[in-house]
Amino acid sequence: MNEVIKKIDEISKEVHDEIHKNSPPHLNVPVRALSNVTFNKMDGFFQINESVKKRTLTAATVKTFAQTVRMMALSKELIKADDTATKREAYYVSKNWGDARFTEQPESDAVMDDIEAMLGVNREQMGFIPGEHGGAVAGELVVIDVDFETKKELRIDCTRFGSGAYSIPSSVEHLKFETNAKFILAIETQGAFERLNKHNFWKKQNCILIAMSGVPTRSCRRFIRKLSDEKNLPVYVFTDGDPYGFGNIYRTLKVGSGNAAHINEFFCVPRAKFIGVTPQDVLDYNLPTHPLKEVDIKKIKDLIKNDPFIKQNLEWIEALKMMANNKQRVEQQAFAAHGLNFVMDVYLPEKIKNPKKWLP
Amino acid sequence: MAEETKRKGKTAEEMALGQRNIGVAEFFAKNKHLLGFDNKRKALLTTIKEAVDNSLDACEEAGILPEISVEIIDMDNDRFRVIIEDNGPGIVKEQVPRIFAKLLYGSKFHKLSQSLTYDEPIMIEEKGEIKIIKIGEFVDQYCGSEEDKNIQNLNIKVPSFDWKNNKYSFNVVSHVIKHERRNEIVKINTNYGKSVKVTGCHSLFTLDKETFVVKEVEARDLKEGDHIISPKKLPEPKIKNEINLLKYLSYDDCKNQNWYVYCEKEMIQELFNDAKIMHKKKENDKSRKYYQFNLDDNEINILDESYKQYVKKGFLPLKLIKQLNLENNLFENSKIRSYYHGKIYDVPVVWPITENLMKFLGLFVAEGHTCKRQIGFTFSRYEKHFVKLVCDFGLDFGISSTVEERFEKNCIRVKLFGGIISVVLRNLCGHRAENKKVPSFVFNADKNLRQMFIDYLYFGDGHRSKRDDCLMHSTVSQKLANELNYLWLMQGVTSSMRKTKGGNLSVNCKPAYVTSIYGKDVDKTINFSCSLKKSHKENEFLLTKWLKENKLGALNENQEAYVKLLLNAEEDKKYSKEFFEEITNNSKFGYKLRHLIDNDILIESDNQFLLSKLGLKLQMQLKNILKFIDSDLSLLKVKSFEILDEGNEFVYDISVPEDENFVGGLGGISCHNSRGQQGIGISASVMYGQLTTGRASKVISKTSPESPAHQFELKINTSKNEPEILSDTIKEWNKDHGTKIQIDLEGSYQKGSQSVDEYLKETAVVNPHVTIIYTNPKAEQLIFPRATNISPIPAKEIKPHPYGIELGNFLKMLEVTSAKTVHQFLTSEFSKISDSVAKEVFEVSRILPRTKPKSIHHEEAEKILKALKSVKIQAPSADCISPITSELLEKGVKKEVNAEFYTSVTRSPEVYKGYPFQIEVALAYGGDQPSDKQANIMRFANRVPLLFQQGGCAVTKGIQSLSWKPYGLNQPNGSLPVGPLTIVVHIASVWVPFTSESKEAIAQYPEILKEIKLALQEAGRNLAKYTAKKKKVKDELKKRSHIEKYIPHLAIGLKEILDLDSADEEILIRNLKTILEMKRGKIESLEFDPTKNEEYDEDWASIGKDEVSDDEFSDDEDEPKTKRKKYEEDEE
Repeated sequence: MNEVIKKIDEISKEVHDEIHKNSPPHLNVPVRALSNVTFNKMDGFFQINESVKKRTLTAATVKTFAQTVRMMALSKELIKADDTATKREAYYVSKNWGDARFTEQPESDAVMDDIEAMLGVNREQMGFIPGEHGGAVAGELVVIDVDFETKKELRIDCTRFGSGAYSIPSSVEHLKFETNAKFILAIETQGAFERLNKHNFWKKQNCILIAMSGVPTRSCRRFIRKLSDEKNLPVYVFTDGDPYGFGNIYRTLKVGSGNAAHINEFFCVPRAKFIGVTPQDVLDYNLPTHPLKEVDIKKIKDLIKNDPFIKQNLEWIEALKMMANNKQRVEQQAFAAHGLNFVMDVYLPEKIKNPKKWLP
Repeated sequence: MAEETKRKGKTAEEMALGQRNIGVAEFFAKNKHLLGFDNKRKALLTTIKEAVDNSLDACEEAGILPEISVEIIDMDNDRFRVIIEDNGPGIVKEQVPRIFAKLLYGSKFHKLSQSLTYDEPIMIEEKGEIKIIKIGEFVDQYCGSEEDKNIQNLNIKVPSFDWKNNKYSFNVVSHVIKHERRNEIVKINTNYGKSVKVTGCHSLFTLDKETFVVKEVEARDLKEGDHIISPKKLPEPKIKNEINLLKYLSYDDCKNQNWYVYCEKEMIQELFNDAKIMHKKKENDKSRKYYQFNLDDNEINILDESYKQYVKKGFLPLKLIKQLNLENNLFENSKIRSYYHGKIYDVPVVWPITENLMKFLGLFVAEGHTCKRQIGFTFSRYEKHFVKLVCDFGLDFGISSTVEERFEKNCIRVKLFGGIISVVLRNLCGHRAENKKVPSFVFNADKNLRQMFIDYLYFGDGHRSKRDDCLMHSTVSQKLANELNYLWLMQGVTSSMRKTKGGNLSVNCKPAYVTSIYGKDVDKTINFSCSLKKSHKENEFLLTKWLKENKLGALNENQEAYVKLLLNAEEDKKYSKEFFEEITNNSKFGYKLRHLIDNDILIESDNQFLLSKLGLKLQMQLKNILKFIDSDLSLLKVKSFEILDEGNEFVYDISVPEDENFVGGLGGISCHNSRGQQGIGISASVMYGQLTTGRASKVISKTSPESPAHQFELKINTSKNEPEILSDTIKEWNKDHGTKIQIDLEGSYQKGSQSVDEYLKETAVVNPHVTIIYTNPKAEQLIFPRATNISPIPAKEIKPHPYGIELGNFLKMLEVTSAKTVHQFLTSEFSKISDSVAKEVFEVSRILPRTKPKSIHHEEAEKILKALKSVKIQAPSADCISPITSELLEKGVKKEVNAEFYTSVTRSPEVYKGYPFQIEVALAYGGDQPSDKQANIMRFANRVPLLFQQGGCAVTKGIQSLSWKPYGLNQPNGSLPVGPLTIVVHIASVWVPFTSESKEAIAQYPEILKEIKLALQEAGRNLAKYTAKKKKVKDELKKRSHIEKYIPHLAIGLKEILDLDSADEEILIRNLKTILEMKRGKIESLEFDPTKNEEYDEDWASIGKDEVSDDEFSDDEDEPKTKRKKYEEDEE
C-alpha cells in the first residue's frame, strides 16, 4: 500500500476514533515558517524543527478542519487512481463541496501545504502538482524522459533548442541525464539567460544554463539538485545584487524556504555557490547602481537578524552590511554599461575562475 | 439678547434698511421668511405652531392640563381653514387685539418711524457727564444717512424709568436710529410750557384712566386735556467735585496766547523721552537739534533750546499741550500762567466745584459778559453784595478786579482781568446773551451746589413775584431756558416754561423764555421761600381729585383714614367693626363706616364687613395712584397740538433695552421706543391669513363657566398696524373656559418630514401631559392621548447666575443695585453666591468687600468678574428651568422609534451669559432603522420641536463635532453619523437663544455646544456598551452557524477516506455537535425583537413620514443584508 495513503488513513482513523470517544479530535501540523527551521550546517539545508501546531477542533477551526479532511480524501482518491491534479484543479474540485468550498486558491494551497507537512511528503507524492513550470534549461545536457502514452524513452537534447530552451516539467523525479558539462549556471532573470544562450555561452564554457525567473520553483530546485547530485556538477548562481536576489532567490535555492521546510531536504541545492552580483563587484567593475529603497534596508536588517542561513554566514552578513552602507543595489544587466557582451566575455569567466570572490 | 445671536444672511435690521415708505403689510411681506412664512407649506405649519405654543403656555401658566384640538380644513385652491381650540384660561376682550392682531415689532422691527425731530433735546450721560443735546446732533455722530447703529459698547446712557417701580435711572443706549420721515409730525404742547415734536405714530406715555397704570399712547391718538407722563425727578448723575480748565480750552483758544502751564520738570523730561531726536537745517542757519512728535498726520518739531528752557523752568506752552493732545489730568497740580500788562497771573488748572464757584457762575450766566481779556458784570445799585462776591471769587484765583460805579446809570460795573478766565467762561457759559447756557458740569455737581447755581441765576436774571408766589427767570437763550428746565427736573421740581412775544420787555425785540416755579416748589431753593403755601403738584392733585370723584373727599379731614382702610383690607375677607376701628385708630368711626356702606364700598352682612367689587376696584386704583405718587413720574396735561407736515427730512430715535423709554423734548417728557419681544407671535399668522385670503380671523374665548363666550372677528389695519375688531358677539359654547382660533390662509398641506403631522406628534412626545386631537385636511383624525397627569413645573424667574454674566450687564447691575456694599451686592443680586463664596471672590480679586457698588469702576468690575469665574460656585438651581426628564424623553422616543436599545441622559443645568439652561439627550439604536442612512435627529427647545434649519443649529453642530466611531457607528469626516440611530436633543432654558425670529435653530454658544457634546458623549458611552455586546453576540452566532455548516463536511471527508457507512457518519455528526456545543454556553439573545418594545406604536411612528418612501425602505432593506452576510462568511 502506498505510504501516503497509509499515513492519510492513520490520521483519519485517529480523528474518527476521537470523535467516537466524544473528545475533540485534533491534527498535528508542523509549523511552517522561518521561525521553525534551523540551518543544518552539516547537510547544508533548512531543517524543520519539532514545533508542531496541534489543531484541535473548535467552532473557530471547524471550517479548516473539515476542509483539511476533505482535501486528504481528494488526495487519497488521486493516488488510488494514479492521477494528478494541479493546485488550481484541486481548488476547483472544492467548489462542489458546498459550504466547505474554498473562495480563493491561496486558501486551498495553504491547506495543501499543511497536509504536506503533516504527512512529511511532497505534494507531488500526494497527487498534486504545481501549476507553474519550473524553469528554462540550455546547454550540454540530454534529458531522458518517458512518453506518457507509449512509455518509451524520450531523449531531449538541450543544445538543440536554438534561441529557445527546454522547460523543466513539474515533476522531475523520473528524469535521467546525460552530460559532459563542467558546471551548472543558475540565472535569476530570463533576460540574462537569453543573452548567454543566444551567444552560446554554454558552448564556450561547457556548461548548463538554467533560468530560474525569480524564486526557483520546487521542480526547478529539485531538477538542479537531482542533476548536480547525479552528475556531480558544481552549481553557480548569478542573481541581481539586491536583498531579494540574495535572501529569497539564492537562499531558497541553496537551503530551501520556511514555508516548505518539511521537504527542504530534497528541494534545495546545498552545493550551490553565489558568484554574483556581489556588492564588491559593484566596486570592482564600476557598475551603475540604483539607490536602495526603505523596504530594501528593512529586508537587509531582517535577513541579518532572522534568517537562520544568513545568520550563520559572516560573509553574507558583511556583504549585506556593505550593501546597506553603500545604499546601492545592482542588476544583472548593469554590465551592459561596459558593452553588451562584457558579462559573458569578461565578468562571468573571471568570476568562475576566482572562487575567492564568491559568496557561500 | 436677540441682537447678539448670530444668524446667517441678512438681519431684520439690515432688511429694514432697504425699505422706505413701507406699510406694515409690505414690511411683513418682505420679512416673512424671518417670521416663518417663507412658503405655503411652512406658513401652515408656523400658524399651527404659534397657536399651539400659545395654548401650551397659557395652560401652563394657569395650571390647566391642556387639551388641544387642531383641525385643518381643505377649502380648495390652496386655501385652508385652521381651527385651534384649547381648554386654556381664555382671553379677556381687552387682550384680544393685543395678542392676535398687533404686529409687535421686536426691537428689530421698531424702525417703523417712531421718532423725534432733529432739534428735540434729549438728556444723555456720556463718560459720566450729563449733556442736553439735540437728538439729531447726537444720532448724526454715529449715523451717516438712514440707518440703525448699535452703540451699546460706547456706554452712553439716558435716564429711563423702570416699568416695575416707575423710578428713573441711567441706562445704556443700545441703538441709535435715523430714517426718513414717512408720516406727519405732531407737536404736542402741554401745561408748564413743555412740548415735544414726534412722528404721529411715536408713543408717549399716559396714565390709564381706569387702572392708573402707566401705559403707552400714540402721539396721534392724544386729545386735548389728556395727560402725558413726564419725569418728576431725574436720577442723580455721577457727582463731580472739580473741573479741569484745560478741558474747556481748545487749541484754537490758545494758539495765539502766551499761556504757560507750570508743571513738574520730570514730567516734561519723560514726555520728551518719547520724542524722536533729529537734526534739521534751515536756510542760512546751522543745523539744529529738534525733538519730533508724530501725531496722526501731523509732525511737531520742538527746538532743543526750547526744550532746555521748558525743563529748566518747568513749564510747557498751553498751545503745545493742546497740540500734543496730552491728557488733561496730567496737569492736575499745575498752574496756568499768563501776563497782563507785565503782571503775572496764575490760575490753577483744577478748580474745585464750590459754593462760591456756583454762585459766581450763576451770576455770570445771568449778568456777565466777556471781552477778549476781561469779563464784566453789571449790577444795579441794589446788588452791591454781589460785587463783593465776584471780587472775592476773583481773589481766590488770583484774578484782579476793578469796580466802577456808574452813578448816571444807577449801576456798578465789575471787571475781572485775565484772558484765560475770559475764554474759559465763554466756552462754559456761552458767548452773548442769546447763546447763554448752563455750564455742562453743573449737571454733575452735587444737588445743593446745583441749587446754588440755580438760585444765583435767579438772583441775576430772575424775578420774585410775591403775588403769584412764583419765581421767574427770563432769558433770550432758548438753550439756557431748556437746560434750566432739565436742571430743575434733576432737583425734583417741575418748572413751567413760557415764551414771551418779543418787543415788550426787551429793547432788542427778541422773544424771551421765562422759566417759573410756583408755590411749595419755591421752598426747594436755598435762598427763596414760599409764602402762600399754594400747591401746584399734579400728582397730589390726582389723589385729591380721585378721592373727590369717589365721594371720599367729602369727608376731607378723614381722607387718611379711608386710604388706610382701603389699603389694609384684604380681598374676600370679612372684617369686624373693630378691625376697621383699629386700622383707622379713631373712636368716632361709626359714621365713616356708614358713609362707606352708603356708597357701596363696604358690604355689611351679619354685622361683618366685606369690600365690595367697587371697593376692590377703588383699592386697586388707590394702590396704583399711591405708587404713581411715590414714583419719579408726573403728569402733564396736553393743551394743544400742531400738525407739522413740512421740513424734517429725517427723524431720529434711540433704543434703551428693557425700559424702552427716554427723556426728551423741551422741558423733558418721557418718550417711548418700542419694547423688544422674542418671536413675533400668532398675530403674524392673522396678518398672513388676511394678506393671502382677505378674510378676517375669528377668536372665540370663554374665561369662566359663568361668563358667556365671546366671538370676535378681527383684522389688522395694515396702514396703522392697529387691530380692528369687526364684530363681537356672544356665543353659546359648551365649555368651561378656553380659546378657539380660526384663521383662513393660503397654504400647502403635505405629509412627511417638516409637516404639521410631524410637528404635532413631536410636540406630543415631549409634552406627555397634553392631549392633542388632530384632524388633517384628508379628514383623518389622530388622537395623541395624554400620557401623564403631571404638568411640567413652569419655569421660574431666578436671579442671574454669576457664570457667564457679561461685563456690560454686570456694570449695569452694579449701578442700579440698592445694596450698600459689593459684598451685599454679590450675595443678594446673584444666585448661588454665599457669604463664603463672596469672601473668596474678594480675596482673589483684592477688592474690599465693603466698597460701595456705585464706586466700582470698569477695571475693578473686570477683576471681580474674573475672580467669580475662577471660584467654584454651585451650578444654578434646576428648578428655574423645566426639563422633560430623561425617563419621559426615553418614553417619548420609544413611542416613535422601534429600536433595540434606548438610552437617555439629563445633564445638570449650566449657564450661558447668566442664563441657566439644561441639555437632555436620548438615543435609540438599531431595530427598524436603516443602517446605511444618516442618523435621524430630533431637536427640541423648551418642549417645542424644531423642524427647520437643522444645518445651522447648535444641536447639529454638536453632533457633528463628536466622533461617533467609538460608539459603533460610521461617520464620514465631520458629518452626521451613519447608522440605525435616532438622536434626540432637548434644550430647556429661561431664554433659548434662537438664531432668528422664526425660532427654528439654536444659536451656537460655546457653553451650549459643550453641554450638548458632553450629554451626547454620556449617552454614547451607554450605547457603546450595547454595540460592543451586540458585536460579541454576532460573532458567537457566526461561530455557531459554522458548526452547523461544517460538521457534515468533516464527516464526509472521514467517510470517504475510511469508507464508513452512513450510520457511522450519523454518529460522527451527532458526536461532533455535542463536542463543539458542549463548550459554548447559552448566549444572550440580542436579536431584535420587534414586539419587545411595548411603547412602540407603528401607526404613531408613521405619522409625519412619507408613505411612499416607507415601502422603498423595506424593498431594498433585505437585499444588501443577505449580500453582506455572504461576504462575511467568505471572509472567514
